[in-house]
Amino acid sequence: MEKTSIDNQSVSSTTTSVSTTSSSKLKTSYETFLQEAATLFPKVDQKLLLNILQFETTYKDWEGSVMLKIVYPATISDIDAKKDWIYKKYQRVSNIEEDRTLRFKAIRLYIEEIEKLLKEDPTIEYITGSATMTPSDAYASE
Amino acid sequence: MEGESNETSSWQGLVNKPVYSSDGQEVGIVSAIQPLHLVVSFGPITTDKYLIPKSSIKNVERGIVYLKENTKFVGDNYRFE
Repeated sequence: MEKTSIDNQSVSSTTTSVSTTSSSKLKTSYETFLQEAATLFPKVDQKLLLNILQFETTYKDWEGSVMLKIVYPATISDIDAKKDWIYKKYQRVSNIEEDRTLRFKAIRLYIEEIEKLLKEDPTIEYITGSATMTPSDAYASE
Repeated sequence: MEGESNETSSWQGLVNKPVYSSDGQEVGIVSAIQPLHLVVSFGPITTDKYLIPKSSIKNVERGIVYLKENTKFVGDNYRFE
């Protein structure tokens, strides 16, 4: 009887140990992943990046609906040229905010597209915005 | 930033902390930490947002983030939304 009690304690202790190890391992992996995201996409809002990744990987038919804000350095003199460039790429008219930020909503803005944008225009200082499940312009964006 | 390492965890501690310019004006509250910048928000409804390079932080003292630049410079160069 006493032997069984000891065995139960032993099993319980082992389970706790395995559980702690699993959670530590998962936390470490997640922290490494976040660090890698920051290193690979330093100019992208990390929350937006993770949201796009989540939608892309969870919903295979996600249309890549994103309200994007592209921020240029305050010293930019040709923001209208950037606006034209965005129009040619996505056929979307963007709003100019604070003379340095272009805001527009488009589809198929997957993570590869964000990477492409940054490669095509290295003057971009920062990209932020929000990924949405709704594909159309029927709903107001933030 | 003086006295701070570049570790993510130490930067995350700045979220919700007030930010002041070098001339003592409040710029806003740190709303997010990004790899190269701090996003600082000001105002409850029509929020002004500032993209502040991490290199612009002079120091953090008693939970307040102090910048190297004055209010005008911050407004002219860092406001993006």
